[in-house]
Amino acid sequence: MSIDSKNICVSVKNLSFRYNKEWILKNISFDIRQGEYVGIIGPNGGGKTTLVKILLGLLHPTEGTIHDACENHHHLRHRIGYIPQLMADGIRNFPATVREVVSAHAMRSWTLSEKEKNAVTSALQQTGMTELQDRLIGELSGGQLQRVLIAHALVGNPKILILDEPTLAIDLSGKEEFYQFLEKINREQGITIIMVSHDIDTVAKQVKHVLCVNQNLVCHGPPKSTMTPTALENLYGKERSAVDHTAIHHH
Amino acid sequence: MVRAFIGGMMVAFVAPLIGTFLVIRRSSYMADTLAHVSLVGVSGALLMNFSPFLGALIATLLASLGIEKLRHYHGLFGESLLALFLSGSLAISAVLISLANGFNSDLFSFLFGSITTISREEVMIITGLAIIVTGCIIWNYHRFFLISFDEDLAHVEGIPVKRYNIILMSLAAIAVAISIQIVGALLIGALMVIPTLTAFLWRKSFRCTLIIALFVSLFSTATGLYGSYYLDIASGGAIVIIALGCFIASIMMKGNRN
Repeated sequence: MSIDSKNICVSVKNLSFRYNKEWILKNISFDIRQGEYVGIIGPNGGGKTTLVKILLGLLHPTEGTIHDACENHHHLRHRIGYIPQLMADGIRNFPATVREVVSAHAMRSWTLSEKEKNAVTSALQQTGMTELQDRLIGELSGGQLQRVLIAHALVGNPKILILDEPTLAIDLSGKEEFYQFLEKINREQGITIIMVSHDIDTVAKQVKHVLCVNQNLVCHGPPKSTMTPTALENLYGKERSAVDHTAIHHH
Repeated sequence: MVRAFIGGMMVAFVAPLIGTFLVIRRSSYMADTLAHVSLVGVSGALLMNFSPFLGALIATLLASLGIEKLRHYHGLFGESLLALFLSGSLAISAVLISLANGFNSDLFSFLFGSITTISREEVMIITGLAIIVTGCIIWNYHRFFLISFDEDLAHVEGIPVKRYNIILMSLAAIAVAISIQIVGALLIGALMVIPTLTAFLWRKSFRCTLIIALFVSLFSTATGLYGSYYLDIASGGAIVIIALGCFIASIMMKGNRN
């Protein structure tokens, strides 16, 4: 599915966020189009997570607006699938099976209707988790658990998937496979993907559009033209940019 | 004995239903805190000559709302808040008890449970409230499941998290209040937590965990009440000792299998 350049999915205008008199985000504006694969990078404390929480409706901007093509932010939230960070003990020790976690998005009561069951079965198939559906989520690898969370989100038929540091709990060999899976969802289903990541090498390889956030929107655009040594230096400072920009340009 | 058995089974059914959600949300301490808060209500009611059960219900409901409000709106740490409410309520209870001598025997039954003090009206109220709590848990099962799994995820999926946290804590408060006469204020936390922990050892799914916790709780309460009646011992102590026995037996069986 190709990206329609006119079909803006999320439009952020002059967004600022203040917490305890300190500005966390200042005057950020950008557009995200339907079907785009977007990476958000930036240093720790630069406001990446705050920006995501505002997109998710968990925080309200102090100034500025978030709109999609025809609806306000309140409606936008209901079209978003969210993949939270895998905390060490929280989600991992939850005593539920894969199917129970995936079903939780569809359930409106104690049991599932036939339509809801079909949505769950379809999401399990799309993420390749059908065979593991009766396993406890605590017995899964990091990559498998991320697929479970994506299957949970897919049950809600989202237009946008927002992932917060999705590969933190995945080993090196699993990361490549997981990114291929994300790319497949983006390509085949046209779901817009917004991914926060510390891993700028991976972002440079995977995404089609990058947002560099450090209180302000330092730069944004396609990774190859945006993640220049100067831009990375502005974003992270001299030491970090010297290490990372070489990897990007090798790519 | 029949009245105590009916009331006990109601309490045994409700305690692990709430306890499972408290344990997975790492709020096991909440049950103990509400139980101690209920002592304020019991002491106050005994002092002012009205129903200790009603006193416990009012005190636990107010405390559960207060804890949620302070946690959300003032950003105070959950665990410290529970310690604050627990020790604070114990202090108030101590003052109320010292103000009025003469209800020591009544108070003992509320601390450790007694099957002789429960009236027919109280059994009816316990049954009614237990049905309401169970209905609320079943009706909102998917919401409590998702909020316990990840609050941000639940919020993004349209669940008003603060509202359902308050509902869950209010249900916990009701569960504590209806349990206090059978199990006792000092032991109700154990009946909420121990069956759930035992079930966790055998978990195959979330629903399976709930069902095992219910089974352990019902078994412990039935046998505990029976023992309490024939051996003339505190019912709460007997129930919790049997629940503990189930937990230890499960640990040993799981240990041998592993």
